[in-house]
Amino acid sequence: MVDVPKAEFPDPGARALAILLIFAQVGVSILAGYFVLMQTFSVAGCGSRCDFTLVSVAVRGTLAIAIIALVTSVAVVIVRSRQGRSSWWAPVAAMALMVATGAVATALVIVGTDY
Amino acid sequence: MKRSSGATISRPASRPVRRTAVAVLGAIAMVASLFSGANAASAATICGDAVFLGVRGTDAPAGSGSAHSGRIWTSGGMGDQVASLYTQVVGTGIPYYSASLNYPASGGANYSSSVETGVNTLVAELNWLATQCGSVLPIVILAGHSQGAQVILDALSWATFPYGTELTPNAKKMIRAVAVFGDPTYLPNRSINAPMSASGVAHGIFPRNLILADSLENSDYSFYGYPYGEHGMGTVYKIRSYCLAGDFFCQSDLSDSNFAIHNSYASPTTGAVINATNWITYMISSPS
Repeated sequence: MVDVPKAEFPDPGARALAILLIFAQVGVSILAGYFVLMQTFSVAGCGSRCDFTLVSVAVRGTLAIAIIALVTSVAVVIVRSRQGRSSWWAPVAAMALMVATGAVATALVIVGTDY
Repeated sequence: MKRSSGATISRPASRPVRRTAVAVLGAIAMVASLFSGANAASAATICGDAVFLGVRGTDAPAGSGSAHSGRIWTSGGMGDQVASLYTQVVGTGIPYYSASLNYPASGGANYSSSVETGVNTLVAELNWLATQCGSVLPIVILAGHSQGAQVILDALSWATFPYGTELTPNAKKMIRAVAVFGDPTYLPNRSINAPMSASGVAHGIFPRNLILADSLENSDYSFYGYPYGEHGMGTVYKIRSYCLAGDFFCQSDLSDSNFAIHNSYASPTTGAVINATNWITYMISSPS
């Protein structure tokens, strides 16, 4: 019989913090998506002169990055928590990524609807 | 009241003398516009002709020629889709006093405050219009695209919350037809939806509260008569909401995020503006 080493869990406080930050990341992602979405209303003003591809890429890109960032940060938190290592930085990094994504996507929508 | 090209404007029963006077004034205005070469808006009057009030979508170019204490523009400011509708309805021969709502039409973080400003401005303008022709109410046509559609339907459906201003009974009564395109508050399977609107259960990205949606179909904005395109009598709704399949803003389907559809209501391919033109012409000619 082989002894399997038990996973070391970080203290409950660190784990709770990581989970809390995951929820915060979801909130930041929704907020970023909301700002991009609200900016897309500008397509109503540019008629056929809009760059619809650019606007569509910005919206879909934001959604895709939000999903990938969430899956990644959840995976990092689970794996590193089981190894007893700190993981709070994963959702924090994901939040920074979403803020940047939201800003870039909003700028792309503005460019795509400028005429 | 005979106008032109066989088009007839029907008003609610009122004082015969005033109606005759209005008809004569309208005819004079129409003839004057023919000889002056001016557009319908410059020659037409609020009381003598139908009033066409357009509300632009987000970030559509502003108009010029501020009037009515800054609530409207007398030139431009309708946006491509509504301007196309206006061109079509004027082409039917019915003279219109045309204007566009002077409101921010902002997007992004300012969207909500822009809608609120638009609703307040529109309600104030409609309440003012209702008092301008004595006992005869003007005939008002409203048309809006995107945010403009939301502004119009919010103005017609909101009571005192959250905007604080309400349409007077006469202001509601004078509204003859309302055509909105790509409304972000669109709800499926409503009586006010145009027959050509998207089928299915998809709704706008800001779906309208059901109680408020019901208020758009109540007796303030409907009557018993002959509905356009139908045989026999039934409920005639004064509001028509056009939402094309694939329009991201009134269908909320990210897989359909081809934003070009939102701006295609004026396209002959979709036929939405043409359909709205025929419906508006019918509604103006019908007794309400």
